[in-house]
Amino acid sequence: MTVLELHSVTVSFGENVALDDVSLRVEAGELIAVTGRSGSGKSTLLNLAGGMLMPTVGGVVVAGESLGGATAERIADIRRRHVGFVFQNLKLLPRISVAENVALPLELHGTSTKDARSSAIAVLERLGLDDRADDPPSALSGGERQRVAVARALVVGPSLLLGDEPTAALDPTTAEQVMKIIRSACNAGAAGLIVTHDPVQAAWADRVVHLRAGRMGRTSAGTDAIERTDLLK
Amino acid sequence: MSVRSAFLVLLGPGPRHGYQLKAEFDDATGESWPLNYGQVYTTLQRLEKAGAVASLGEDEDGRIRYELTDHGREEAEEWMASPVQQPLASRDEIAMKVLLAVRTDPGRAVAVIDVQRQATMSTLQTVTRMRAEGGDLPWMLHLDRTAMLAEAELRWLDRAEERLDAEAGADSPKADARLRSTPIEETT
Ligand SMILES: Nc1ncnc2c1ncn2[C@@H]1O[C@H](COP(=O)(O)OP(=O)(O)O)[C@@H](O)[C@H]1O
Ligand SMILES: [Mg+2]
Repeated sequence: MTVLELHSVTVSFGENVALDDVSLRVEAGELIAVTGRSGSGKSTLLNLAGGMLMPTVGGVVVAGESLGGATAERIADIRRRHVGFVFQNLKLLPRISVAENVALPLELHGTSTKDARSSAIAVLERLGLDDRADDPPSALSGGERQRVAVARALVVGPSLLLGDEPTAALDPTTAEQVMKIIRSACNAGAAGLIVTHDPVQAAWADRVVHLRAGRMGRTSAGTDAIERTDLLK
Repeated sequence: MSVRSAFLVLLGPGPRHGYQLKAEFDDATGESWPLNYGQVYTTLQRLEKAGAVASLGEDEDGRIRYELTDHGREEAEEWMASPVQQPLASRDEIAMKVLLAVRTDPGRAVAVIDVQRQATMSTLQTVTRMRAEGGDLPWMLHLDRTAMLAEAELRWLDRAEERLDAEAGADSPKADARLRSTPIEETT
């Protein structure tokens, strides 16, 4: 099932063409990484996918629903039902517990406090953070906070998981933990689109697309398994 | 490196015959370097001739065991103790291709980088998946190294592209736009 479709999208900010005729399809269960240097259009692509930005030319379809011509309320609704976001530095609310932070998106969507809490605890468990559930965010390390940010994105059971440099502020070990969580959310059926300038994190994806000045370069999709005897060639 | 050095090191703990040496070599290296028996026996004969190992004669099964001589022990120790002088990357084929493209057709260099990035990224994707699956220690050490070499190559390709764009100045795609660009706020 195709969860995200970008059809020949172009985004211009005045004369500045941030994305130039980009097409992309992301299937359920697939993780796509977008690489490219600063200013190449990565965040613009992600903002399009999340309905935070409309293309100047072209169309965006999320979970079969076209965002073109949709009202702001309609887009907010599509986003609420289908999309989870992870940003580089999610600001957790300081005065409520970790579990309450994770439960927040569900409560905002009308889930009862009790149900929201049990869903939040379940996600925190999956991420190995259940023992931190009742701590204040200030008690967490940077890596733990970022995993909580992922938990908050996953708690709604998104069919599309979007991440803008979700590991940029983390040390390599913690970054790997976060990418593994994102990877397994996709293995469990979510479509993932992760922006990163780091090839090591991008390599967790099924496909890696490279942006250069708003244009899409080649897509890498892995090779055949490497054999022991390949290593000394 | 040579099989000779490897055998000297493997003989350190005590005498071995050729079959044992091959088995230990395979095991230690994670079977990434297949040896044939011909190689095993010619290596042992050469080591014996050079006075680095001594034959202990045939055992009851007719296999010849070898032990290190003092000279052989010294050579093994010296090999282990010295750093390997890796050739500096200047003759690396990827670097050469980029440099030759820059000389003959600078516009082409970015395409060369794009093709190489795709291939190296594909390798890194595969190795990343295999590392996540886990395995025995020699295999994991090999995979770590392969991943890190691929990472270094990708970083170099990105840097090379940046330098080429900077060199090309206003001729590069959107160079002027990039100069005017300002970071956007993350929406939370
Ligand atoms: N809201 C905006 N207004 C004007 N220009 C923007 C805006 N957002 C992005 N841009 C420009 O679009 C280009 C791509 O930006 P962006 O998508 O943030 O790149 P990246 O995330 O790869 O660093 C840049 O030149 C940037 O300055
Ligand atoms: Mg960005």
